[in-house]
Amino acid sequence: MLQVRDDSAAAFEELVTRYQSRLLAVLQHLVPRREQAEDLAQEVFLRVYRARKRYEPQAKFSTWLFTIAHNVARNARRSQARRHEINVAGADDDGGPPAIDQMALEASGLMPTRILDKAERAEVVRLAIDALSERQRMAMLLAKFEGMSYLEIGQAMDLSLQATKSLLSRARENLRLILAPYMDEGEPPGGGSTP
Amino acid sequence: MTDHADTNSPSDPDELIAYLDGEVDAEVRRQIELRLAEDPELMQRMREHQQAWDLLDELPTENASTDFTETTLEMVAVAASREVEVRSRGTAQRRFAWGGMAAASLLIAGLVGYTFASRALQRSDEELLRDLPVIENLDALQQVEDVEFLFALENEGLFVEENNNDAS
Repeated sequence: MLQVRDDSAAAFEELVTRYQSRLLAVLQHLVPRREQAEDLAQEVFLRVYRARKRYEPQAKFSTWLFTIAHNVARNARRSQARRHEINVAGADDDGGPPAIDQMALEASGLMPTRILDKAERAEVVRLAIDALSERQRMAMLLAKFEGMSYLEIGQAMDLSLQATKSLLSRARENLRLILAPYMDEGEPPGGGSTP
Repeated sequence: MTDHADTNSPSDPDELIAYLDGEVDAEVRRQIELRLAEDPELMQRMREHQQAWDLLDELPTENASTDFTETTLEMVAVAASREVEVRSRGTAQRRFAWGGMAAASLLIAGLVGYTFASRALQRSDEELLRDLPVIENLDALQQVEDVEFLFALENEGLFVEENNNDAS
């Protein structure tokens, strides 16, 4: 990034190549469509380029990158909300998870009593992630896929350490409650005990 | 944010999740592990947390396409060229401004110089005018050896008269 700051085009290309998939992996779970995630990722790289002169190597570059990604995604969702588009990505508050029966129907309609295959499990997990609030989702994705510490997540999302800890605690509790019926594979979703 | 009355205790839900994330210190970890050994329900809940966390690995990971990389770099290249254009336009404007300031400075310096020079010349003329009687009579005055005699001539009004004649 220091070479990018010094206007090295090759260094910027290297940076895009190295981080684009990681960035997309997070962004595609923050917005409803893949195309929108790509647009946002490009916006993030554009902002990185424009802000390159202000970069200070005090924190890890990935923390700085995901700070920008968090802001870009949040702004996109705000402008989307202003346009009153249908929000298919999930709740906006930090409340509890949606009804599991509804999740099950969304996942695969009338799912048979059998072990879910990999694609179906992926869909169930995707819906569970989407059911979390944007902030819970972001914090969880950074922890899971970027391996960020609480401190780094707090820096990226402008939260205190305690707030980050609480946010992740609620996120993981919600995820557990949503996925509980699916974790005992072979049991029909919604047919088990309600958490 | 939710406030927990028993923050940092092994029963605090935030601490339990932080334990799973490896974000607690050694003492809290020891207390939580003691409690887990004694509480099968809590142990089951923690297993569910871990399983749910592991299920996130089921999410598909798609790599960015070559098109994405190319369009991203093109977009940034366009932004970079615009930046250069704006910067060079700014440089030209700054150059013009500096040129104007330099011209104005030269003009001011010229005016100040002219004023000082004309005043100095005027002062020199005045001195010549004042000394004109002495200059005109220099040969005669050089013949006089006694300064008191010259003062006596001045007191007689000789030089004043000449000055007045010259002034008129």
